[in-house]
Amino acid sequence: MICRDARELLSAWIDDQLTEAEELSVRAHLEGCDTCRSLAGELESVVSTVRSLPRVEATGDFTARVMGRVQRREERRGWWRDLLRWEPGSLMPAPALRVAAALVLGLFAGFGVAQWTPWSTAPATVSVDSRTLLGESLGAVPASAPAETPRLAGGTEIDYVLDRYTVVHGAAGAPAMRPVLANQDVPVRF
Amino acid sequence: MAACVAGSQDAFRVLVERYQSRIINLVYRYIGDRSRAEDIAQEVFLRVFVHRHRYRQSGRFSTWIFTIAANLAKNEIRRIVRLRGTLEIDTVEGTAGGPGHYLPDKTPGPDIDTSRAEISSIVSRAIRKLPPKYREALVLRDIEGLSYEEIGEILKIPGGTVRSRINRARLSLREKLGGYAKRDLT
Repeated sequence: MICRDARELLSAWIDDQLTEAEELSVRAHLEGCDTCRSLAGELESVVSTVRSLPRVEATGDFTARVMGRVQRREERRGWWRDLLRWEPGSLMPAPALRVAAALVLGLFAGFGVAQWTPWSTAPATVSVDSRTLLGESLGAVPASAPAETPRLAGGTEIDYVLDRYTVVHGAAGAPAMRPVLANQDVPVRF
Repeated sequence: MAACVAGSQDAFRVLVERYQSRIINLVYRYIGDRSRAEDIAQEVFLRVFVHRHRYRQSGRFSTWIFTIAANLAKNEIRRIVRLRGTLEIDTVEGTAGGPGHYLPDKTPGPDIDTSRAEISSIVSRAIRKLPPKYREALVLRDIEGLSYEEIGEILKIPGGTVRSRINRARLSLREKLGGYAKRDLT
């Protein structure tokens, strides 16, 4: 081992951090090299000096100041912090997510109720055979009587009602859809 | 630490009392400003509390908290460098001369009657003048007494690099201290 290599390992040798093979090599080198042995001694002195430096102690109220900061932080975060906090391992989402999910569900439910029109108030729609439509006026079918099969003024049965459209079966049997004005008492014209 | 993770402030208080001296010392040896070192140490503990859920039980708590402290101390050094408009904090302090330039007198040897406080001050200044990457390795090893393995984890460098940095730090410090290196301060 040459001096340059030995000097690279001196601190690790002092700290007993060398492998067995490295330890033997360094020890053998130091036994035969006054310069490196002297350097090793000086490095040990450096280590000893640094380790004997007085420690800086915390001021007396250090712990209280840290705990005060922790406490203030906890208070500042307040209730909404709890809303956002999710406990590891919990299957429940964070409270804030629960609230948000409830609001979204509520909005959807409200929208659905507003848009839903019960059968009893559905607009009067009629389905007629195209043969009866030619120039014929039709009376609106009473919407409050869905249980009975709606009939045209002329007695023709209505096939079926599809929301605001009337399904019309033509003479050739091909269905056609026509819009119907809602809740009109006057005859509907196609 | 488990109780602290669960949110116990009493458990956290015990941690603060147990580690405060080591953390303040570490930061102080990094930046050389005692008052600022306490401020940063407070920040270290606050972060430990805030991020306590991130602590991995498999790792050593001391390694985790020293990593936080080392990072905050390095941030502080960068902040100081930015404020001074220089590239390196050591450059600012070391422009007056080469190795040993700050010593009051180069002739005194180990046998003069220099006070313990004065030698302590000289050694502390010499440590602060080491390049940061050598200084942090030296502080973690010789001030805090951490193992090479822990130092590697904290600084995120391989074992061979830890060995090399510690060695170069000591060699550099030996040059800066001259005869003062042979003084025992105890």
